[in-house]
Amino acid sequence: MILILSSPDDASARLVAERLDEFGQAPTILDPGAFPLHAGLSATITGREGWRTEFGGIDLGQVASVYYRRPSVFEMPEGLSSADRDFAIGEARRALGGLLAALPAQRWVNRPEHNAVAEYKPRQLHLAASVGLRVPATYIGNDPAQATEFAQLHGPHLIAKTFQPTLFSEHGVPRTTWTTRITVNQFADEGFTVTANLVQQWIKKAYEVRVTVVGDEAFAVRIDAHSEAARIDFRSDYDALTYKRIDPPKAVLRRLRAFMARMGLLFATFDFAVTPEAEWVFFECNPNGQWQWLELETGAPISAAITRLLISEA
Amino acid sequence: MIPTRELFPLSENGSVVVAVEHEPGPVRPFAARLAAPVVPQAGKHDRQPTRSNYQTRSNTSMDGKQQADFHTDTQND
Repeated sequence: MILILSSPDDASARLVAERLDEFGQAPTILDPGAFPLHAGLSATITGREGWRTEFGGIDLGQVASVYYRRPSVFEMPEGLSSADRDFAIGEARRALGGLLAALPAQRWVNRPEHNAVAEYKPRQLHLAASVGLRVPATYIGNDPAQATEFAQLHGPHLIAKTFQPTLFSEHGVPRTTWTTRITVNQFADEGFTVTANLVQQWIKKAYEVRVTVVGDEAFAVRIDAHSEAARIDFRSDYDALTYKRIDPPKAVLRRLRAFMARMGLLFATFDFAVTPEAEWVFFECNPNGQWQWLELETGAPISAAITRLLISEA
Repeated sequence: MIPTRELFPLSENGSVVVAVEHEPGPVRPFAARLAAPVVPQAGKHDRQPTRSNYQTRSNTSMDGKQQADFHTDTQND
């Protein structure tokens, strides 16, 4: 059995499910967030044969591979206090999470704990550099004096970015922090000492590339930005982007595979800047990154590659 | 290395979400002050907004990271 763990709303999961169906390997799609309101759970262990787990009426004992995409949040019954809801969610996460982690599946794309570790940008930058990729000179910290010293060495053109995607709403307007160009004077902002900041030298780009690696296959898409905002952070202005499939340098691919092996990943997306001198500069890795829109834009057969990975022998 | 709550991050919002309103205080993290208005990009990063399962304090996760759910899924990884 091939199991997809995801919200049914996720278009990438649906696309992979369609491909699996075409390959004659119709998957089972389960959303852990359906527990407990829409899917019940029963599991027993009595000996060396391990857990017998039934979730949502499905016997999970036959799972051979898992595509871990976007599980939704647990939905708890009405009437719970906030503290009791947190309690119940915590218990559900540890129980169902532990049972899923104990599945006999030979292949996970990806194991969620590997995703979690791979998400840490400081570790990504360290590992990327250690496998031979160029990374932007980076400062992390909350010391304005040290940041200023960094800027004197690697500025004056600098950017700030966050360690995680963020979205919040102020006065009814959703806001997020994109990669933003900053100046050394902004280190005097009292907010700079409040928490860790990620500051990097600005990399002059000819264009950006998102490389989606699926097992032994890789799909690189050149992203050209046609607005000032998109040239700083392409996510901020999708209407200003054009796409084209390209072949990345073999040395880059070799280093990405080393990166993924060290992180224990079978799937990941990587963002690069390519300088006017044609040098590839690693920006970040998204171990469960978005790819479906690139398949739609360019025809890159990413869903088929994920499907082959799921149905191949581990 | 991994916060215990992220050992198996099962609380990802599958699509979601509503960015819960907040009133900034007088002191803000530097990067939060850099935030700009965001326009939903349905069709790009592959998910369309749907309801949040709940909106009281809890943890959500984006691509393996968890955070308080006044942060919601930006689909921008």
